[in-house]
Amino acid sequence: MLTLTREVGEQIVIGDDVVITVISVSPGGRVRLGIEAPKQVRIDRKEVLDRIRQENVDSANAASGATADVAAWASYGARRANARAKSDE
Amino acid sequence: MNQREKVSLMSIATAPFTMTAANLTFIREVPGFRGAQHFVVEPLGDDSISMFARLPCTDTVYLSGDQALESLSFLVMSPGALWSDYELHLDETTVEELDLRDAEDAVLLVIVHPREPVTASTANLYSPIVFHRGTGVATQLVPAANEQEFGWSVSTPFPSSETSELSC
Repeated sequence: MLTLTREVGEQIVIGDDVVITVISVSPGGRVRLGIEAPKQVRIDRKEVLDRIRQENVDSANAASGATADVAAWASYGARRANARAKSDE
Repeated sequence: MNQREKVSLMSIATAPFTMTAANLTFIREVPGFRGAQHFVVEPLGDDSISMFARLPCTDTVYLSGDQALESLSFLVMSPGALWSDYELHLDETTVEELDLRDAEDAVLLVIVHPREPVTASTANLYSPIVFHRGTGVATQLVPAANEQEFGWSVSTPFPSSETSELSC
């Protein structure tokens, strides 16, 4: 891993068109960054992406068994749709 | 500044969407599954009232390394069917990537985490799937805000009122 030391206001350039600026550093250690990048470059918080990845994997694993019971889910959906139709009347 | 922090351009109506068969092409891999970009919406039960759908992937998919998964399939639903107050604001980049001209072009799906009984299940309202009704071009949103700021969780419980409503 490349490690760089930067001060507030200083920048890092990645490739040709990604620029990261250190905006501020709080006494508690929170670092505020500004990122300039082309729109097609995805910028995500890693912990957010990791949480979504994990939930996707867990949901797919659970669904592989649950959707075998198609009738139960279809029945729940039908009852729910009917309840909504009644409440809309 | 980051383009993704711009104020949203489009607010999507979340009226219940009855599932209909569709082919979806994701503009990037679904997070967690390398190679997963093509899916088919397969409504469960009677098409006219179907609230849930299977979402099998038609690609060869890898979890990690070179070992391909035998199969990949999600259970999905329209969030408006259970969460009438669910509202979503799309950022400019997503609107452009899906070529959405107005809110009516967009369809929302959320991934269900099935549990026993059905009413104990949860759904990912934090990171929904959005697709263009006409083209099937899709994406799973990764919000810039965390779950607390966003207001919905990756594991949002099914509303408890459903249990009593359904028992009537």
